[in-house]
Amino acid sequence: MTTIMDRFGPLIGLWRGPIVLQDGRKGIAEFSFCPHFEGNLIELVALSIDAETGESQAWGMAHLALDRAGRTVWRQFNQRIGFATLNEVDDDPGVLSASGSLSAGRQMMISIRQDGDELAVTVSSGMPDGPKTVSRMRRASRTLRERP
Amino acid sequence: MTAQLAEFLPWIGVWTGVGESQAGQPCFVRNRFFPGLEGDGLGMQFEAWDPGMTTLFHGVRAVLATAPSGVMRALAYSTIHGALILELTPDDPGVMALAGESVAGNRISVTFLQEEPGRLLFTAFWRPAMHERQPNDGPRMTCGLTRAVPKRPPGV
Amino acid sequence: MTTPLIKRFHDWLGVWRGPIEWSDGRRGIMEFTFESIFNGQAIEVRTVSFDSEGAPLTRGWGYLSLDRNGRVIDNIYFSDAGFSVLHEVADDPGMLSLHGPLPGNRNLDVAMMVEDDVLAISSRLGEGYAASDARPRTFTRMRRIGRSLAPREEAE
Repeated sequence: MTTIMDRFGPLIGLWRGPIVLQDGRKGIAEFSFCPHFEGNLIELVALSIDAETGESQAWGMAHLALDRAGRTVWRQFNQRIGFATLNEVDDDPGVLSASGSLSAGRQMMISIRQDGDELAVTVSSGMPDGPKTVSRMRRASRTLRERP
Repeated sequence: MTAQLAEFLPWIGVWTGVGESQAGQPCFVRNRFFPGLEGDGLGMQFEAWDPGMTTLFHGVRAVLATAPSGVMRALAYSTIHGALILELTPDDPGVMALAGESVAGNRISVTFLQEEPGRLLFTAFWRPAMHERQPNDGPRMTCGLTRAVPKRPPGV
Repeated sequence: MTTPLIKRFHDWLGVWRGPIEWSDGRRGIMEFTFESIFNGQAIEVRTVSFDSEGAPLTRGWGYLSLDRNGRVIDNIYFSDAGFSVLHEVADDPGMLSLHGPLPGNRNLDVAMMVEDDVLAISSRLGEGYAASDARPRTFTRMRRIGRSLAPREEAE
């Protein structure tokens, strides 16, 4: 098993749950983590869905890989911000936190905590004390690691 | 997810090999197993090409899933046989044996056998509906498959 | 070159999502994905539905293809009902109506239509030899998410 799968293998699969977006809208979050190239890269596709109409409210994707020091590099695109590169920052064990700079002095910060079949995600993309996108999801798919 | 399905999850990934088609032609085979039905099924894409990869001899797209009754079947589309539903037949551990009939009545058998970690033996045959009495030991497609692992250049 | 299947269904290719009301009163969000496979020989259909909290309700998978007479065959798996091969039955132009048997003396009929970037689907599970038309139907109206997945030359 690759180092990144060793660390993030339990994330692999599909997660869904309620989300409150940074701008106050509510919906259903869907996060799908999928390994590629025999577990050398993890791809995240993230969506927020209007629970009444089914329309997409927000969406993005990210590639997670490890740098030579073994820290996570998070390269992402979403429809509101565009491209951004986030680098892992120190946090509690079991939590992946990454931050990076955006234009106009803004900072993006993402924090993911997985506890069994629960996934908590917090994202901010403005000023550090500004509003955040918050979601608590449950595992929607069975655990499907590429090479258990 | 059933224990039977879980048995095949270590196969998720890409498998390739060079073998021989039922008609005796050399062919390059690429088979991908992937998660399906949000983890309740196993998807498959099978491709058998001429060695130059210009002609697709046979392509099959499928998902292995469990009926409410507990029976496992593969729902599939084949470029030769069209719509298919194949039954997962009981076999030894490390063997996925599928069998059934096409809409036109052709009898189809597909088997993946794990020979060792990272190596599968693929065999398959089909018999036309009018040849019901032909024994199953007639011509068949056979191909050894190895897991396709990305090459890492030295020093990277 | 466009296949007759893609010529008929290129407007359907892509991802669709919208509210669904099940015949038993459950409500949720349904998502359908139609994807052309093997150069338009068949269309793979993947479905999922979940409730307002995101909890999974159903999963499905199928292949649309044409028989020798140009009528649609849809071999399907649906987590609530299992496996079936549905065949096209006559209906109004623009409507795809399918009917097929299910295990346990049950049957399934499905009517689907795409109009103005809305995919409307109505389905009913029948039981017994005299399944009543008055049974409640499952109904969903989905809107296209993003762009059509039709390859450019196939969409023209």
